[in-house]
Amino acid sequence: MAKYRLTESGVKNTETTAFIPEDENNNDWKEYKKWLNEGNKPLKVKSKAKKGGKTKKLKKTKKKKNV
Amino acid sequence: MATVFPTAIDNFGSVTDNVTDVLAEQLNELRRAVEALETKVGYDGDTNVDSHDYRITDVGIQGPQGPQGSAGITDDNLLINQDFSVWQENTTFNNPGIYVYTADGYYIETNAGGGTLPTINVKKNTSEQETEFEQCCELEITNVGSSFNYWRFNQRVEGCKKYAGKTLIGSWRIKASTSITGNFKVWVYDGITYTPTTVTSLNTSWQTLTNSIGIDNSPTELRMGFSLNGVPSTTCSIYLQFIKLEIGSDATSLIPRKTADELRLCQRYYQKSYAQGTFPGAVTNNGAIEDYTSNVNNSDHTERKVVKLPVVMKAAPTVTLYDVAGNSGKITMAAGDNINGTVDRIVDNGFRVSGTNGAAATDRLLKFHYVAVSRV
Repeated sequence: MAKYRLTESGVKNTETTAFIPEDENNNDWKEYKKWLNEGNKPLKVKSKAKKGGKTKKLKKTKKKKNV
Repeated sequence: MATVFPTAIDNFGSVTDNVTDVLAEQLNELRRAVEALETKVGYDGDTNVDSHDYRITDVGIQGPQGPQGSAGITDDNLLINQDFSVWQENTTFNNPGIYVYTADGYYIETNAGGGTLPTINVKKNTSEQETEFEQCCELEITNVGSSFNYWRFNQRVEGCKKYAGKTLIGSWRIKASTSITGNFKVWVYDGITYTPTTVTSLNTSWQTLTNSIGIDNSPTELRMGFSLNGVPSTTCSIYLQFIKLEIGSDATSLIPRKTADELRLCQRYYQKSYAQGTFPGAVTNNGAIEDYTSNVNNSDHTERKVVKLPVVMKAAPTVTLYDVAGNSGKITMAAGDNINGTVDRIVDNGFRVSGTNGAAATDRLLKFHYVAVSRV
């Protein structure tokens, strides 16, 4: 899997789960740009909703965790 | 305060008749200006309490760091976490690799150079420090390695161009758990010149090592550190009490900072929601950002929360979320832990977190921890 996935305002590091903003002064963004320049390609933005097909039926949850 | 006015001008009080009217008036204007300045500023040792000379001299005598003070209270160290009092990420780092941050501000850089790097653990130590400190930093060498190029312990300073053309001096307070020989270097680096001070032995007494550098007129970075540039004679621990980088060619003693100030300096580059002493990924509700509402429409839902950071960071930070069970990239919602969280609208003083519950519920809950990082 690619090291990065595009988000709406930057990228997500798929290995660390960190969200990296598009800021030229952010070292992680610089590292991402360097990774891009090496010919790598990030994963596409994860869509918010599934297009078409069946919608997963949601179950009512009774558990109250960590409230 | 030195207020020596040119007497030649000051005494030029009478305008003679053998000059033109224009010149005479110009000279008179000059004389009146000097008289007015003298009245306002005062002479050296002036006893007029309204004069600047009297007021400033008085402050110098009575104030804590006026012109006549010696040490002063100005914080002159360019480094953060100067005495290793802040360890936000952890207090023990077992053999951290290249570019891994340890105590706040300090990271590792290595070059095996075809050999084997030493095994060095970086730890907060609370037993070997000097009496006026509560801790020191321990570099615990458990394997000396072989034929490696270097192992470095660095800190990078923000805004290197401010120091262009200046002379800086770095000082390291250091000792070892046993007498040890090797190739140890302390250095300050401006991205162009690397002229370290080399020592070949360390012993069990605290000593101060220094290294001076004339910063280039166009520095590309400013970094200082301690390094092993060869295999040490034995496994042992090396202790660092403080590191200081200051302008000038004379190393001065360390001026203590308030604990809160030191933490704020560190938070410009690293912040977390966890309590100090609790480290990212811990299973805890304490310190978590939370919103909760009960008895609302029974439905699936998306929630959002804006986090305002307590200290403005160097740049928009990289943000990692954790649910309260310690899972990274996740948040806790009404349906439980381990729900994907999203971060957007990241700026230097905050960001927004969103999550979708994934199931119908009558509670609304959004709870998470965060770590925000913006390194130099």
